[in-house]
Amino acid sequence: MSDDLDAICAEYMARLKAALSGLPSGDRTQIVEQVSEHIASARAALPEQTEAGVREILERLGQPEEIASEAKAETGSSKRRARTPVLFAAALAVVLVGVGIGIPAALGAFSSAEGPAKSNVIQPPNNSTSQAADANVSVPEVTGEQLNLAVQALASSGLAYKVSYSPGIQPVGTVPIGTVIVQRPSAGTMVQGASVITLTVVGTANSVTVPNLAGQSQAQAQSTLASAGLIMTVNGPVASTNVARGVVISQSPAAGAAVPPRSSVAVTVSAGPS
Amino acid sequence: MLAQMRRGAIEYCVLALLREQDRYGLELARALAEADGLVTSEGTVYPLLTRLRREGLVDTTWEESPNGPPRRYFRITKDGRAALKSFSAQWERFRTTVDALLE
Repeated sequence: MSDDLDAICAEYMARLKAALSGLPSGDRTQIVEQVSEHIASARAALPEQTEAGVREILERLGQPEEIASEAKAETGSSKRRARTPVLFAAALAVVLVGVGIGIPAALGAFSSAEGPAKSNVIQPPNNSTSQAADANVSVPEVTGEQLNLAVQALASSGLAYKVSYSPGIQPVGTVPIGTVIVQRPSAGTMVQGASVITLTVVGTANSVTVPNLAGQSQAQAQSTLASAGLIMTVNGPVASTNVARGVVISQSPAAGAAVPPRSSVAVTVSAGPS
Repeated sequence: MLAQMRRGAIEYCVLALLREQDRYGLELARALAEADGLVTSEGTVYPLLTRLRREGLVDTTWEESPNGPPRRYFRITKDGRAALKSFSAQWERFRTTVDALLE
């Protein structure tokens, strides 16, 4: 079921990428990433992973072609706007640094600091106080669930929770980031109301450093990225007189950038001399 | 006509939404879609945010989320605040003028 839902989202993203194909690659990468993050956040907030829920998210996003036509209008309007020296310098800097400015520029390490403004967003219902302190509560089974659902299940049993990330387990493959893989105490244990259940969640709270892929073949780059817990997308092939056919010419984000686990890294591959 | 006015004003609505607090993409998109008629669909916010970022009016930072993947938060910059302030003043005059003529 979850695979089907992933496939529906993947199809939407493929249509979006195709629709954005005429755009500067920096803008295209950013829009694709942001829409993909939108879907992931919206899905994480669904009470249940159903096809209807996912379709509604995509419906509200709008047709990929609609987003692309807005993007083309924005690209046009930006050219009129390089009006002050400051903005012009900023635009120039983007051009010079290249598409690698995508995610990493403004990105420090992950911060867990939360202002009051941020904490009012989709709060997990972890403040249930309705259970008597001496009531015996059976811990529900929450492993295999996304964290938000696990937290809801615990809250409705009157339990609190604590999250620990599992840095050793890279979220590559079929277990998505945010999945609860271990719970303590285990399901079925009788505990007092408001007890704290510790959840171990796939992924790491730390950012991942993007490796340098220049000079690698497409297959090498793929495996380098996979072992860093990152996903590769390929642009091109693009004609090049000085980079051999099938070898990576450039990448975005740039090597050394800090990105969230499971981010996409776009590589441009040489077609050899045209 | 309405479409053009909307296009002109919406980036300042985004900046205004960021004036008091940083917001992540989904949150901004939903806030704008819920404000009557501002965007036709949530996804069209992202090309706009991409441009605002390119122009240095917003920047972004990553935060962990309590229930899902990390979120990219958008934050208004000093240039963004200056642009918003200047628009607010112009808008005030524009609105007063148009209101006076329409009455």
